[in-house]
Amino acid sequence: MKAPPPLNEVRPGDPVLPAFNQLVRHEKATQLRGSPRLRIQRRPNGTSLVGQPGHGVWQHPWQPGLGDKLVKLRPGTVNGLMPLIEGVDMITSPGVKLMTGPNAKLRSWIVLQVKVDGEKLVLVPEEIELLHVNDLAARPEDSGWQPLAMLIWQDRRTPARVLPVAMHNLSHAVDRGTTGLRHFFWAV
Amino acid sequence: MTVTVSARSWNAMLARRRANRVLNHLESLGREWRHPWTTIVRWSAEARGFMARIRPGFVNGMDVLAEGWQPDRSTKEMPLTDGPQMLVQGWRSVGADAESVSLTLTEEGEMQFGYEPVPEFFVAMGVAGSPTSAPLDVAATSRRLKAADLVLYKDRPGLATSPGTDGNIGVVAIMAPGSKQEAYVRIVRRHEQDAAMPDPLQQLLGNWADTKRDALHLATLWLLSPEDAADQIDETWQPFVEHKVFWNLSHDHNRQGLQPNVNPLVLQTGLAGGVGDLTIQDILASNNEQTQNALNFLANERIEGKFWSV
Repeated sequence: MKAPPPLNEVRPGDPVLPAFNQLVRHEKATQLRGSPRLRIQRRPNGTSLVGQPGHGVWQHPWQPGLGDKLVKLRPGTVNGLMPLIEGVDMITSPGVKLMTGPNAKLRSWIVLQVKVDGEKLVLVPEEIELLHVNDLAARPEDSGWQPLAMLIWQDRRTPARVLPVAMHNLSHAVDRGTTGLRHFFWAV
Repeated sequence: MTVTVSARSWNAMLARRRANRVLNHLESLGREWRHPWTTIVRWSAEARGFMARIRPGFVNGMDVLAEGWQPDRSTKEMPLTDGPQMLVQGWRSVGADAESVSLTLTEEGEMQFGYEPVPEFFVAMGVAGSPTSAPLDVAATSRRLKAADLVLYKDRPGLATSPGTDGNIGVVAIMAPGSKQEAYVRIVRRHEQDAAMPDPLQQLLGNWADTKRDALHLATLWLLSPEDAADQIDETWQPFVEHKVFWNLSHDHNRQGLQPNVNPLVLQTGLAGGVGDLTIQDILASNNEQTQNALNFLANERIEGKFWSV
């Protein structure tokens, strides 16, 4: 962006018109510009600068945090039930251990795995688990998977960051389709 | 009439102008929570255009792809988690210089053009309304407004028909060539919703193909000009983003688990003379049982997908 023209002072006896034109040029060249957190609201009677401060960190269900070969998630529920991690409830468990590495694209996931009662099609509480997997297509036929977080790895041994996928407590339902059970999860 | 302004008062005015001038603003860069799909649009001196960067969102827990701008001015498809920047090209005009988006015939037989409305927020900022709007204050008509749409796509199979023999129709579920497993985002000049129902005549005449992807409008990107701006977009224009989706998504369609057809289903229409002899009257006739059966068959076989949030 070009620097605005100088705004020189005048001396007694100087003509007004050149000074006025200089002032107009300067005004045109010094327009304010906004940014993602600062809005410029121009109206005929003046301009307002509106700051938009950050909103802090929202702590949501399933919010993941990366530890040493471990992912800890904030508690969440599916149909009001809290999952287990290796047989322990997710509040007292230290987290999901990263026992396997990533896939070829250096990605892996923390998934919510559920199983349903064969007749009533309702969730079996002790079969609601959190797992670490590196292939979302490898879901067992008798289970439903909902990815909760994605891990991005620096290399095949080092997880670099974890990003949330699910941000709400979930509802779950099963549809008995022609090709087997179809599991649906959605935000509540 | 001669007007005299004292040098002292003039210089005092300049001093006030300097003192009141905003030199810059500092932002507190504390951690801020941003929802998936949060899009930031900024001017790029290198690309000589506005770039959009999207906070990663996921569909079915998978990466979403975008065409990232490269310094050699090419584009490369990469996941949003790699932080690609998309060059926004093909802005549309909204307001006084907008193109019409619809044409209707009034009861008096006059043609009436329809225009995309200017959001009230931008009207208050001095953007003129569409050509059919009431005239605004002259001082408030000098700013221009451009827009583009950020759209999420997910490929899926789609239905297609082809004319067979003896009035039968071949019905097949196919994927589009080059279809992707991952969802992908594109910036388009204007997002048009697909028709809710396909044209029945085209379906029965064969050689018809339904859409083979689902689309979701993620955001509208707006550019507001300074006052008295030329039409040329440059760094003095101010970007705004109107988000429409705030959560990660799941996507599924009603043919999940079934492979696209290798051999087409054959729809026995029983329509004498072959499909090529169908007329619009045949198709639309409510008492034409065969035609209605054929349309019901196609409607039941139709593949539809949906996005929902998790």
